[in-house]
Amino acid sequence: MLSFASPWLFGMAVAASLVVAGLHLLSVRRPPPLMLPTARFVPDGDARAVARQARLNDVLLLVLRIAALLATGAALAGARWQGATASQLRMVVADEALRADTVWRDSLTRALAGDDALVDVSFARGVSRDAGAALVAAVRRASDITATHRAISRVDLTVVLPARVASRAGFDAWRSQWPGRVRVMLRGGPVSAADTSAADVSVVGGVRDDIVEAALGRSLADAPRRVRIERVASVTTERTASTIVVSWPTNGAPDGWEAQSVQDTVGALVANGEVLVGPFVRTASPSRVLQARIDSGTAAFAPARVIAWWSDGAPAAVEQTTAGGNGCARSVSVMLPAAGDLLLSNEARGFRRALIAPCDADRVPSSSLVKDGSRSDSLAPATAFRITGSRQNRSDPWWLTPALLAVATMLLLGEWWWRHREGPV
Amino acid sequence: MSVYGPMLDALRGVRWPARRAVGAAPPGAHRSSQKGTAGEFTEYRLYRQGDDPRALDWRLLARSDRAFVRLSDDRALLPTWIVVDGSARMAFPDATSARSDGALSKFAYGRQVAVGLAAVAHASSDPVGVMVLHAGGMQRIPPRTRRGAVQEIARVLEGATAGGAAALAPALVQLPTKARIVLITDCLGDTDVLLKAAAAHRAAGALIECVHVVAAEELTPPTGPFLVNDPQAPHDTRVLSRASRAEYRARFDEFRRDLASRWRATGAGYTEVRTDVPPARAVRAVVMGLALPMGDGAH
Repeated sequence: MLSFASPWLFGMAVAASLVVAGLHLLSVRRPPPLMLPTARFVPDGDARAVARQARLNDVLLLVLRIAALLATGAALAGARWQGATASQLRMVVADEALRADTVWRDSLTRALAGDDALVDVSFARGVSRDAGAALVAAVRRASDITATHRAISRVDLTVVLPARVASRAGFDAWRSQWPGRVRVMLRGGPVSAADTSAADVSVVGGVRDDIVEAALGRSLADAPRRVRIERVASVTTERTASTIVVSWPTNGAPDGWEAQSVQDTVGALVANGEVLVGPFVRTASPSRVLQARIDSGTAAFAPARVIAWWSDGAPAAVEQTTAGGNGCARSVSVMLPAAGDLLLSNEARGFRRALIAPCDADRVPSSSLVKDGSRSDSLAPATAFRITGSRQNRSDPWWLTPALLAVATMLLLGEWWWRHREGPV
Repeated sequence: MSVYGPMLDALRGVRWPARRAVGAAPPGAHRSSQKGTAGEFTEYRLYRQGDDPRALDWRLLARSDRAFVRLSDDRALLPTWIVVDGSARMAFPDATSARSDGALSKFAYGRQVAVGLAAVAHASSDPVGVMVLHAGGMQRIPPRTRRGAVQEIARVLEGATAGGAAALAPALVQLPTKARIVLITDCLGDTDVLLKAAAAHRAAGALIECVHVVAAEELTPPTGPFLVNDPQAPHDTRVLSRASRAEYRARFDEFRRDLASRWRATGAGYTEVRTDVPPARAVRAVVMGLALPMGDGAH
């Protein structure tokens, strides 16, 4: 099926063709000359003749001219030839971590396939951190596909998310940019209920009157979860699913962190949405390995995520999933003043909670996005993704424009030849 | 002469008598207005003083004792001038034109009629001459009776090419009045002046014959709209369309009717010949003073 990137340009060519056809019917042309000695007996009149009845050769000229105009208009309008005539795009956007799962992809593709539908499965990075990344990728992908396949009128989006994501802020922000229904599919096991129980927090290796022990230490013998805060470097040999080890040395950098050659001051610490302002000194930063794990998200062998940030966005505390996947360990690179109630203040509540919370405690269950995704019943119109511009004015396939221009040139040459063969009109 | 051979064969035996008695002239085939003693007896007249005594009928004088003179009609020669109009208008239809269908142009047709008339006049022992006004100017051969006069006339006519806009009237004035003058023309030139000159010549005793050559394509011009031009007035362009054809034909017919009556009013002979009629038939019509059928034309 033939479509155009700029239909108005082709419309102008059609209008010009109609004008040419009208001129052919109403053209004023000079009749052929004839020497006639008795011309004096011909009545005087306008030495022109209006031919409203087209002759056969005029019809051929008309056809050649109109064909040349239409071919030129189609070339300039960015003609696009589509063999497929699918009217609906069924698009699936999944997290990059699911790319290797071909079984899932094939079964989903079969389920979505239809006579009038084009199925597209794509993957996006960062979906596990924020589902909004899937929407961003979907908008970009939909723009590309709808620009290429002009027959598509509706877009059906399915987003495949892990059971939990780090944040839903991006999804909430980008949801309004998707003008239709978003079907959210969860990939992964059921999400257990959030652990709200109190933890048995022990602080080991600290100095006397350690501010950390004063602020966080709590002994609950029957608590289901234990948090062990180590104030010296690498003392723990015991790592169990029920024990969360927090490496927070009094001096130096914890495991996975690198001491900075130049220490700098940072005015605030952010955790769980709360800001703790204080005279902090930053002495270490994540090592390359740790930073790579943070950047890789859930795709990493031992994923790491930031649980507390400096005010400039640099990580201040990191949680790493243990190798078995059933526990976690945290490392904190925050140098506290030797004395003071900074960690006991209300502003430090978010930071304290981040340190003693269960593993993955602040991750958002993706199931909460299902309802928000389907708040609209209608499919997104393809026109919402089509943009006009010089880049979009290309023909498809690319050689269609030069081919049409060549055809138009040949038609014009044929018209010229025929006109001169016939003689001056 | 091979071009004219069939036509001359068809005209063998045709004579061209003068339509009225001719004036004093050497003896010839035409009835003369002069009465003489020679030749065939016509009547007696009483002898008058001064008559030639040799004309007396002596036997009658002896029987009746009265003197009578034997009288008889004279026969005279009639010099014939054939004037051929070779103006540009006579070159229609152009033989090279695709619309001519190979038809003779008016000039070529008039040339054949001229040769035919010359042959007929020469067969009557009349001296025949020709005057042709064409693109190269005017050529003339004075009337001659010798053998080969017709061939000479044909050669002169063959060498002429239609063109230019020479007027016939000044040429007519130069011709003698004691002669038969045949004007072969399309009557589209200086017609009014020519008619006056012809009337004056006719009054002076000349026998004037007008052979009006009309091309068949002039009567039925090609179909379709054309920008028509008079070859001798190329700047006057008119449109011959389907709508104007009827009016054109009506005007042309009216012109021919009026022309015929004006020529006859001068006492001249007038014959309209069409180029699609065989030239021999046209010559016979001129010689016999008959009108050729012209469809819904002037006749």
